[in-house]
Amino acid sequence: MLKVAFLNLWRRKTRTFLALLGLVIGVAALIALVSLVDGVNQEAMSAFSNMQGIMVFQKGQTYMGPLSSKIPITFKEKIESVTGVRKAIPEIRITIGKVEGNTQLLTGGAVVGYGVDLADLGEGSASVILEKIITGRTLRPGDEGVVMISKSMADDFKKNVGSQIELNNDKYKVVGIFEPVSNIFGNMVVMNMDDAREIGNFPSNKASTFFVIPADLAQASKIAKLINFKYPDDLDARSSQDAIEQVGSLIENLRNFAFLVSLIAAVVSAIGVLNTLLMSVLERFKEIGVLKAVGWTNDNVIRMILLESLLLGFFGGLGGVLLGFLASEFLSSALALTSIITPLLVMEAMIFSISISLISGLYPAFLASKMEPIDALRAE
Amino acid sequence: MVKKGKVKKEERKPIIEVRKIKKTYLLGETKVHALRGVSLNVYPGELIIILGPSGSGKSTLLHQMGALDIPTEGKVLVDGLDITQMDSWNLSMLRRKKMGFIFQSFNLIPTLDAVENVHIPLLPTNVSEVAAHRRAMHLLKEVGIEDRAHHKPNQLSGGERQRVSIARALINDPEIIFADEPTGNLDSKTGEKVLEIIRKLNEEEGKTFVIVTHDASLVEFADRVFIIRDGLIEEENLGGKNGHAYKSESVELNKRKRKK
Repeated sequence: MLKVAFLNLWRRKTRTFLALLGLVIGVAALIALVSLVDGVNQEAMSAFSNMQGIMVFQKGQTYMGPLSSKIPITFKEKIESVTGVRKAIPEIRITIGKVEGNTQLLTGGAVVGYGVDLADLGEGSASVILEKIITGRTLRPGDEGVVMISKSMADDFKKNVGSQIELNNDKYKVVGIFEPVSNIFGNMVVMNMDDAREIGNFPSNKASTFFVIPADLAQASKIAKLINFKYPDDLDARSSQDAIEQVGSLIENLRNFAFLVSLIAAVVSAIGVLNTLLMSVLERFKEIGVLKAVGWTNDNVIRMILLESLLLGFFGGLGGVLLGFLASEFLSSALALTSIITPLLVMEAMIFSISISLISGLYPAFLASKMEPIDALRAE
Repeated sequence: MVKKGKVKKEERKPIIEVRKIKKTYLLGETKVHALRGVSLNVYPGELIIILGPSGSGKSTLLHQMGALDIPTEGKVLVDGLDITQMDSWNLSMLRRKKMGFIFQSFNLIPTLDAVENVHIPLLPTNVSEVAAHRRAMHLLKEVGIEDRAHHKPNQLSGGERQRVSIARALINDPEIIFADEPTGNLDSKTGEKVLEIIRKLNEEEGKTFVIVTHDASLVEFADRVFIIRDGLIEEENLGGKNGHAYKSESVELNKRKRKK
């Protein structure tokens, strides 16, 4: 039966190929979109889970991220006076618009400058970078005019340990190159806080954010609430746990959105499959009539047509997974994002393709089962 | 004039009983009375020929007898069971288990080779593919084209295709085989070979045949011949098999009779 179904599809190779193409594109879109969302999710999760603490933003500037947040430095003591807080470390983030006189966007996105209090480097949110040093050394208290740069920047500008790098209008010496924690922060420069203020023209009495280390990590969420309660007009504190949850739900929405987009592609490919099978059944009304004349039941005919749609779904899914894999690789390198194709995603894509195809096969199968042998023979 | 033949073996139980069937269908908006009250019995082992010009209702009669269609009025009993009361599944099963069909235009599946075409009726059954294949090969040998087993229909001649379709009709080991103009698309020499196969199957293996044709030369193989015209059986005669030597004059005669 499988062979017969296969040969039936093989009869009109172009038509079958076009129906398959529809499925392949639908499935590939699903794979590419969802794999990117999954990749971003993993990146974000690993970025956040490395920062065990509380991030304090300027009130109202949370969504624009740390780059637009500015908090008077005097809040360091205020925050440290909150119960349960062990330490509040001011940090500065700036965007560096010009690197080596080049203002174009780099492959990894905008360059983020990260100004840290070098005395607290080991404890601040930049501490995760310290384990990722590839060559050179980490910054030390008292360093001035020196920077650590991420690997993608080193590659883009062909810099090595000891090289000079021009950030906006000043030259800095590269002392270390590190692997970024995630591609989201692909192009990053880490430096002394004062150097960052100078490069980014950042007010000297302010910081971008405070990284707050609680005495007890398990209490982070509670302490964040306490800070928000105490300074409701100035500060917005989020524990890394809160951030993970928030980003998680955002990404969940993104993933659903990707599915929805693919669903539109699916409807289009379903119409393709429906058309192919419908034409094929109508063309074969005589053959189907003869099959029934020689003893096939309606169920046998339905099974044959559904088998044909199943085959379309299977091969469409297979092709879609392959194309999706390529598309996902291409997009992730073009957008400098990580993409992950999990076995679950491949399974979802196959089920997606096969069910679309089977559903599209229902009507043609029903139609075929209603074909009477007598109508086929009367056409003689 | 041909005398009305006397039916032998009346005491035997008929395999098919056609009782006063009428068949009316719509062709566009006109009602076509294809059958207007036909009755006949077919007994096991017989070779029956239904002879008539085109449009006489002979194919329609074959379709009713072969459970391919349900009459508008009357009954068709196969082994005593009324097919007009059966649902589509039971009709399929009846055709699968008891009947074989040979068509004028062969009706083979173009994508399958000869042997696959022969065992396609067994595909939905629980007969294993190996066994089905073996039986199909055996049947192709019986109809003399086992060397063409792996050729597609478009690589076969008309006679070879008809032999494939005969083999297909035999795959379920049916009791009764229906043939609608089996030689209609064949030249006379090839047609004779096909008829020879049919004759052997009837005489040596005892298969029952109901053959519909407008070719009166076929009557020499028949036990009985029914002449049908305008949806009614006009005559029932003994065929050539019973020593009744008549050729095509019967049909011709009737034509002339009507014109008068």
